[in-house]
Amino acid sequence: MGMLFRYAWKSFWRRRTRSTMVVAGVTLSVALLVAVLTVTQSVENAIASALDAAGADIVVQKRVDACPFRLVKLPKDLATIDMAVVERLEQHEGVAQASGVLELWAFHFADTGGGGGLDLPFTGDKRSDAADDAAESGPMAGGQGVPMVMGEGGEMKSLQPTVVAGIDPSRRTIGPVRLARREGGADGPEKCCAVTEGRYLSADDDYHALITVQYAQARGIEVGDLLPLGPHHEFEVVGLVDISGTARIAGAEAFIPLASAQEMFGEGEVVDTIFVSLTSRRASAAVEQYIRELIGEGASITTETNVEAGTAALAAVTRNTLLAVSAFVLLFAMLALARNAIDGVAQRVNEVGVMKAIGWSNSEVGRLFAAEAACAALIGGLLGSVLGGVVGWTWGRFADLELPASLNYFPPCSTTEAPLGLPLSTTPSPTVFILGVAAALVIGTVAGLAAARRAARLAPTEALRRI
Amino acid sequence: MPREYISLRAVTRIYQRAHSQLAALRDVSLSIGEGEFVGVTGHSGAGKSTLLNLIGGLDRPSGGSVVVGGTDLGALDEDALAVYRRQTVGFVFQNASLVPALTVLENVMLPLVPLPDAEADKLRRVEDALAEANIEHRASHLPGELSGGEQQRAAVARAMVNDPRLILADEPTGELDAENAGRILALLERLNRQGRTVIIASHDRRTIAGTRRVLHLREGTLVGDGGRTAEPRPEHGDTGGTQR
Repeated sequence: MGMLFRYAWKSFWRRRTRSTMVVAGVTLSVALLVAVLTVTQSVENAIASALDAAGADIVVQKRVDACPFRLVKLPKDLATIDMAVVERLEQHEGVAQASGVLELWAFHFADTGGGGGLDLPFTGDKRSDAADDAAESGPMAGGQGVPMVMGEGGEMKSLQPTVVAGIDPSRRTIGPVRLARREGGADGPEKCCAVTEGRYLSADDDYHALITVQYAQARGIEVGDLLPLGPHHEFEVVGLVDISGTARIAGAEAFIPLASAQEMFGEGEVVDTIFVSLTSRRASAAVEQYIRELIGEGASITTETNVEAGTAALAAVTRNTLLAVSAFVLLFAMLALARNAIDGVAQRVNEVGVMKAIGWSNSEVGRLFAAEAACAALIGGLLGSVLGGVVGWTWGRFADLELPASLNYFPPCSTTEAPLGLPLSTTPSPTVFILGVAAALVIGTVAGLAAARRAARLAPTEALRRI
Repeated sequence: MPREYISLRAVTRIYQRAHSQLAALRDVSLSIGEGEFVGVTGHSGAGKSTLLNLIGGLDRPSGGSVVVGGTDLGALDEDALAVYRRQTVGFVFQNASLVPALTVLENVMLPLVPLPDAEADKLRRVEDALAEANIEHRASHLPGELSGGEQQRAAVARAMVNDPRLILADEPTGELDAENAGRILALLERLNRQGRTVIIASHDRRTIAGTRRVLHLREGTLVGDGGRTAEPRPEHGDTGGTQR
């Protein structure tokens, strides 16, 4: 058998022109498939990482018309959800954990000098950006924009927003800056993967804040400083957390205890985002249905699937279309390869006759042609997988993919940008690579079998008559 | 009289055409002893190749029986016929019919490829055959780099590499000049002297001049069997099969 394959390889290798054409066809079709799979998989992984970063399978929000402007307000069109909903949800079958977060935009007066002498970057065009945003949020008295307000003495005061998330410090495996991994992986609670300086929030904290490294750098804040949040509160910064590297749902610039956020907001025990982790993905549909019943009108449920569909750069329909095109091209390549292999038999009919005359059985002749097709398929599959991987990698390098902005509203005048960027993995996946080679081998095998069948059916005397 | 090795009894071979039948062989009975050196002659279409194909197990008769070495070829299935050809028969065709993508050594190795024998043993047998055919110096060349005579010597080497008891040569010198034709015939004669049964089919009497027995076919019928002196006088109409 080994010698037969060696002969097949030599026969393949020494028919350079024909072999090159065949390999090129397989290469291009497999490259297309691998590129599409690489791109779709990297997008899916990036989207999954956004949910994984929160340790959640489902994110629940409620949307209403944009609320009027307040100095401590809900972002954009988010509405409050009663904490009782979180508790009921956590009791539901199929739910492993549910954790509520109260995300807020908290404005403080930039020229009050509060916050330990903070340098408030609130000048120039930012002022009008903030005004625009405030206008979106709702009209103010007099119909003026928010960033500027008139003091008691008639002087204008500017406002600085901070995106704040009230989190439950006791929930360390779920939330926008969860401390530990869900399945008790390598990173234990004592080895936080995100806190770079200071500490995480504890259950005893009240007016304490964990702020992002990016926010701290932009504002010149250090651990131990006081941070003004809203017009009346100051929080001691106890730690810095790095949330870069992946997109965050309900990410913020400052994270404070949930109870403190609720006190700042002043509407009782409410949240505006609920992170839900499931015991099993199979429970997803039933849990979603239950959430809709609980929340009622305006319920916004985010899962990996609908985030993907809502991500403009690669909507599900695009992905499916690309996969369909890839499958079609692969099928075409298979037919072309089969046709080529059968033509090869026709052109080598005397060779087939001689082989049979010197004692090769039909199956042995068939195996030789099948092995030759397999050589073409294997080489084409390997080259195509590499080429497709490179194409996918290149796309990943330059693609600019973001989570839908509705999952993480930051005001335009915020100090830092919303962590919406989805980092795409540029490492080629071995699974996709193997899949590409396997697809090539499948089409090569089909083509080879077609040729083998034709060769086996050829009567030796018929073949020899053409010598 | 040598022991009977090949026996044909009332062999007929009829090819079905769209609207007619072509009788390539009709009621041929003959016996060939082991180690005989036989020539088969007749004009083009007389049935020479058909006779060799039937003896070589490449084709099956429409009627009658072909027995070689005590084996009734009609009783063998396709795989068994392939084994018979591999173990018993060496074919030499008009053109060398070497696989163009393989070297001379690889071409001569071809009959051995399906065998489970050790590769070193196969290689030794190939080298012996190449030496026997005096073509070992061209072992690593592709067929396209060889002259016609060298190609045909390589084909003879391929035919003998399995050490077959029967060599069937169909117009083995048809495309060669006199000098190369002489070499090939001398090679076939040597194989016969080694004890192999050799049958050469050719329309050219010079090609079968060295054989010790000549079978003459005309229109699918055996019309002469004996020494060259017994060869019947050529007649008109000896150009093809009979349309029925």
